[in-house]
Order: sequence, then structure tokens, then C-alpha cells
Amino acid sequence: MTQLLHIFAKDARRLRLEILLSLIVLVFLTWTEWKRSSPGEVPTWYEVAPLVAIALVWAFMIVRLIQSEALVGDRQFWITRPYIWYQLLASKAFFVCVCVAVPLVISQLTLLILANVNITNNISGIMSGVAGAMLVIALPAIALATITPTLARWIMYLLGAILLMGGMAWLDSKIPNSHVPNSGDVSDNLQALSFLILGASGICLRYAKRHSPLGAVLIIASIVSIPLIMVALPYRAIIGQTFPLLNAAQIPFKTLAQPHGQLVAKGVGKDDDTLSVDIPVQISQIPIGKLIRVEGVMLSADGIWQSEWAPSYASLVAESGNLNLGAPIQRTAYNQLKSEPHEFLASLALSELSDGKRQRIMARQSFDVPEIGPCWLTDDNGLGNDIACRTTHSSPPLMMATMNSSESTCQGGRSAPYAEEKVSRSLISDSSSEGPFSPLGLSRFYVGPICPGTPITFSTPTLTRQYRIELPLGRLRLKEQQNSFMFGLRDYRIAVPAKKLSAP
Amino acid sequence: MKPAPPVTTALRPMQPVDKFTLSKFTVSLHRRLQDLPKCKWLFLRFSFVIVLKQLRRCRACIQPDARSTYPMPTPIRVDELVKRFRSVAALDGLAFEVPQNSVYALVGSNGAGKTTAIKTILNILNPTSGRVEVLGTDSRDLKGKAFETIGYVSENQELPDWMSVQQFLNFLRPFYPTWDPTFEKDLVRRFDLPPNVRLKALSRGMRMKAALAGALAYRPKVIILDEPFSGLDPLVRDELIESLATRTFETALLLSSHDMLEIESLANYVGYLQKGKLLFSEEMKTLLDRFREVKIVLSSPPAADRIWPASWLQVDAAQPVVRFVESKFDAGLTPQSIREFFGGNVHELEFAPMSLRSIFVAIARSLGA
Repeated sequence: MTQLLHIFAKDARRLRLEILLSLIVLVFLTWTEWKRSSPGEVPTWYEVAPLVAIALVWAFMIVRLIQSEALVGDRQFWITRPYIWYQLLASKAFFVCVCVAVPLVISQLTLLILANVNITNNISGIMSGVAGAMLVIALPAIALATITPTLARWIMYLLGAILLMGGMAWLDSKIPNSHVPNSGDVSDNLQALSFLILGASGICLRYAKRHSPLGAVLIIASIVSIPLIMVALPYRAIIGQTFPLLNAAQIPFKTLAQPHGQLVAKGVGKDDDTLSVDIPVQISQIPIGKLIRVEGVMLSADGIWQSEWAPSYASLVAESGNLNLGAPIQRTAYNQLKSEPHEFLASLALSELSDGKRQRIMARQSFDVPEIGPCWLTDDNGLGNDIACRTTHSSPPLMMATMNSSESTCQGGRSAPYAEEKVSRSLISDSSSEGPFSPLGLSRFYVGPICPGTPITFSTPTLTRQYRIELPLGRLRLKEQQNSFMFGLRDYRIAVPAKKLSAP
Repeated sequence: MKPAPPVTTALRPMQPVDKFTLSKFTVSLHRRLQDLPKCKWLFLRFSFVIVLKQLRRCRACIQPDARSTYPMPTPIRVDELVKRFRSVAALDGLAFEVPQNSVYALVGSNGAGKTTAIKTILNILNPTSGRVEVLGTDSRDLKGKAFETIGYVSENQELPDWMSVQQFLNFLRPFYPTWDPTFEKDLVRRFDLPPNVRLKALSRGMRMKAALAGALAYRPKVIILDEPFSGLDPLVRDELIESLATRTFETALLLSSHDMLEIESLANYVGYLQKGKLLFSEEMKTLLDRFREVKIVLSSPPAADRIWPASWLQVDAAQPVVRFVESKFDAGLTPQSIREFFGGNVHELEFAPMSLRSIFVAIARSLGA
């Protein structure tokens, strides 16, 4: 313990300028986040600059911290001194905690206090946010610093890691089935877990057994494991397991082909690799109080060909009816399938939500919604106005606003088309952050023009179950459908027989 | 009535627990426990672990007594040490000992393996094979607290340059329970170190002195110095040698150097390294005693095809004078054996003692030849 504090005091003394600089940048960043002119919008460069600056200052400070007792090389004075490895490692971790994590927590709390948000409900959220920041900034910086002797070498390794990240982002966009909710989450969680476990083990081993190459191997493996997991994960199997197949009798609604629907395969250009097939589906009899969210769509033909699962973000409520679900089809597969008639089948991965905890609230220019937070009516930008609500880590993951247009208090103008009785709903699953650094989020509900006095029903839906259904689309010859043109480009249009696809 | 004799308690001196005895005991206990039924075995296993911990603690508390009763382990013992960098053998079967209260000098030309040997001894490098013990501890286990009794200074050691001399010493002080503040002040004064000047602003010699102060102030039992005199001016060298010489009563010192003059005045053991191999390792006095420059004036020139004894190095038979270096000189036997070798042809015979430098030059040249 004494050694831990002794080394910490030495590091704090040595890095006092870096600590001061990081605190100044952090204060400036907190101030810019609070003073942001347009929360929720894409931040401008001068709003992003302090964020980049703080990440760089922290990374620089951490590298200097670790390399003050460098683990690479055989000339350092400290390796023949009575340093206890775990005390040394603990002192470095303690420094990162005191000089990076604690100021970050304080700045996040400051933003919450300035926004008049209850702090106690958000402590755990802030802690997990800070832990995430440590995983993204501190752990890679420490890991790379333990296998590099100098800052210059560290920067070289960092550039390599950034290139790898770019490659991984490209890879991520190319990996099929990985963007359907759950399969993507499993991949993200596994990547984070492997990076954390391998990276942290590598760091510990570097300190415990400096001679052993195993520590460096683990650190490199922690980075390499990310694309490996990304590529090797059986996404289709995960989707199959997360969304078990149910038959029509087991689901609480009806799925039908859209009476006038057509299956449309769209390609942007002649050389486009992937065509998007629009599957028109009619869904009805969704019970009141239930929401159905379509998470993914997949198309198959005769059991000999399957498309990849494509994410879909369609949400269905009692009033919903028709919708087009997009499924990708590779041009090569299209060319193979187009000539012969095939029996097509659409698979839908669905989440069933229970629309609970409803509360009817009279909209005002600014008003509070219990469990959600402070809300206000935004200015009409020509397309109507929104209800904006400030959310935090403790806000529910799913929020819905419902308005009956017959209850609208708006007079004339844009409210006219809504004069007929119509229920509008807006379901928010991921509130956007007020700023890249802020613990405050912003959820915008668009349910049509709203004026002060309009009653809005807010609810917080919860997930009840997830399953998969299959919709037979009939026997189709794709070639017969490619006869439509749109904006001078060939458009593939496939007619679907207007028959009942399935019914409970 | 006779009064009862007073009750006396005989105080038995504590016996040190031998490592071997302890391990024999634990092995036999372990075997007995293995014969027990499983449930009892699990219960007793915990108890066994606790007992073992207590025994270890007991051994640790007894050790100071043992230290005073038994001789200290050899400060440095190197046995068949091999260090390879891929296919290149930097050290090849190195074996020597540094006795207590002695100064052992490891000498050799550049690239002979002196620094590699020292780094392997200190666990900075892993040995490929062989064994090194420092104060009885395997060099592979040298870490953490084991360095509380070892002082190491190297010419190319990276010091925390941002610290001043005083900050450097202040930083090191809490690491060592045996740190002697009075001795520290004495070293700073003797080395004429400026306390408030940063290490990076110091000259090479002053940096070396600061490093040495940081390695001597805790009175280590073993001091290892790698080329401590290189690049130092003569005055600083003398100061260093003087201060090191005063420490030999309480420590063993291993140093590597090219500087034969300084070594001769400081070391009492010497080892000569050549391409990773230790050609010899012996006491300085013996070494200096067994080497002599010999000049023989003969009555008639020796035969041209004469084969010289193996102990004669660098033989120069410029007739009628023969000069060479005798590497096995014995004051009683050598003159007689020389006379016998030349069969009464010897007119004049001179023996001159050699400096360490001359001895190594002779060895190096004869090896080169």
C-alpha cells in the first residue's frame, strides 16, 4: 500500500502539467456541452474539438504514466529496484482512476446538476458510462504502452490500431446478418468482453512476468480477437436461437399479403451488387396494448437459397396495416434464380412489446413527464413540430408518445389534415445524446403538429417475447418482374398474388 | 523440612528449520492425507494449507537467528550459465563465484559477454540454461523485495532524468528498509553531488555518482557494477574506487570493466571472458604471482625448431635472448625448470612482475595467435 501511494505521488508530481492540462480541457468540454447551441444535432467541429483534445491528452498522459516505468527494454533503473509488480500496477490504475475517471464522473455529475436532473438515479448509469470510456480510451492506451518503450513507438502502434479499426468498420459493414438486433449485440458484447479480459490479462502479465512474451501476445490477441469474433460469430444461429420459430396459431395477430402489393426488387444501378426486395405485408388485429417490432427480414427460395438477415426498424401497433419490408438479394443470386419459378418464403424476426405504464399528459410549452423527464414543444420547422424530452441513463429504454388528432388543440394551418380522427404514435428506442460527451439524452417524438393543451399519452413499452414467423410468398419467377424503370434505371418489380399468406 | 527447589525453565536456543526438513515433512504429511477418505481429505486439506502457512511464517521468523548462526550464502554463484540470442551464444558455460567481502572483476574485450552476464545474474535477461544464485536466490526469482539487498549501477542505465539528485534519493529511500540517511548524506557530500540539480543536467560522471549513491545508501549485501569507470575522469574514478573499497567489509562486489589499472587496485578476484567463455577465474594475487615476464640470455642460440612449453606465452627467441611470459610462475621451481630446459645454456635469467594490463594483453595476443 505504501509503495502504491509512493509511486502514485511520484507520478502525480511528474505529470502535474498533463493533469492540469487535462482538467482545463475537461472543464472547457463540460462548458461547451452545456452551452451547445443545438442539442441533439450533429455537433460542429469546435464542439467536437475539445472531445478529441481530451481523448488525446488522456492517452498522452496514460502513456507517459506507464512508460515512466517502461516494461520494454533492459536499461530502466526501476527493474533492479524492489518494486512489487502488483503495487506498481495498482498505482498506475489508481492514477488513471484519480486523474481520469474521477474528473470524468465529476463533469458528468455537473452536467446533470446544471440540467436539474436527479443525480442519485443516474449514478449507476454514469459509472457504467465512465467504465465504457475507460474501456475505449484507458485500456487500449495502457495496453499499447506496456508493449512499447517510447511515445514515438506508441504512436506508431496507435496508427496501426486506428488502421485496424478502419478495416474493422469496413468489415462490419460487409458481414452478413450482423446488423439484426441481438446478433449484433451479442457480437458487440463478446468483442468488448474479449478485449477486456485478454487486454487486462495481458497488462497484468506484462507487469508480473516482464520477460514472458505471453503478456504481449495476449494484448495483441485482445485487438485481433475483435475482427475474429466479428467474422467467426454464427449470426444466423444466434438469430435462430433468439427468435424461435412460431406458427400462426401462436402469435396474437394476423399477417396477410397486401391486397395490391407487389414484391419489388430494387437496384440503384446496373452494377449494384445487392438488390433490395420490398415485401408488401399487411398485419392486422394487433391487440390493444401490444406493439410488434420487426427486427429483421430474410427471404428464401425453395429451401435452396436464403438471403441474409436484413435489419428492419418497422414498429407495428393496433392501427398499423400495410408495410413494405426490405430484404437484400445478391445480384449473383438473383441472376441464378431469376429464370426458373421458385417458391419464395419471407422470415420475419419480431419483438413483442407490452405498452405499459401509460400516462396522459397535457402538452405545454414545457412540461414534465414522470419517469421520462422534462419535455418541451419544439418550434415548427415547416414539417411540423416535435415533443423533445431530455433523457438520462435512468430513462426507460423504450418510450412512446400517442396522440389522437381529434384532440389536437391546433387551429387550421398544418393541423387541418389531422382533423379527422387519427391516432399517431411515435416509438423511441434509442434516444440521441445531447452531445458526444453528455450524459443527457434527447428523445424527439413526432406525432403530428402539437399545440399547448393537446393531450398526449406517454408510455414505456417493455419487451415480452421475441419470435420468428414465416410467410410463404408463393411461386414466383423473378425474371418476369424486371420490366420497370425508375429515374432511367432498371427496377425489378415482382407481383405477388393477393392471397392470404397466413392467418391465426 | 526441606524447601521445594525453585522451578526453573530451561531456555533452549531456537533451532533453524531447514528447508529440506520442512519439505520432507510436508511431503510425508501430504501422502498421509491422500490415504484418507474424500470428505475428511477435503476438510484436512484446508487445515493442511493453514498449517503450512504457519510453518512458513515460523521459518521466516527464525531465519534472522539462523543468519547469525550459519554462514551467509555465497553472494553470487554462477554455474554453467548459457545465454543464447537465437543461434549466437553470448555466454557459453560461465561458472564462477563471488565470495563474501570480495571484489570480483569480470574483464574482457568488447562483446565478450560481460554486460550480458551481469544482466542475466540480475534477472534482467533470462538465462538459456545453467543457474545463477544471488544470496542463495535463483536469479530467475530475483524480483521485488529480493532487490532490497542488491545494488546495481550500469554505465548505460536509464535514470529518471526529470528528478533532481535529492528527489531521486528521496524517491528510492522508502523502498529500502535498510536505507541509512546518514550514509546517504555522507555519500552526497563525498561525491560532491548537487542536491537540487536535475539528473539530466548532470555530467556523465556525476550521474554515475548519483546512481552509485542511490545504490550504496541502503548498504546492499551485493553490489554489481557494469563498466562503472568508463568515460570518467581520473579524479572521479579515484573517488569511486575509494568509496567502493570502503564498502568491501560489508558487501560483495562484482564489476565489469576494461580499466585494468583500477581493477588491479580494487579487485581481489578476476575472471577473463572471451567470446562468452570464461577463460579463467581466480584470485588476483594468485594471478599476479603466476605471471612473470622472463628474459633469458643464452650462451648459444636455441634450435630453430624448438618446441616451447605450453605455459610460455608470446615467446620471442631473438637470439641469443629469449623473452616470454610465464603463465605458471613458481619462484622455487620455474628458474630450475628453465635451466633444465636449455641444458645449462642459460647465461642470464631475469623475472619481472607484470601488471594486470600486461597479463591480459599477453593472454589476448596468445589467444589471437
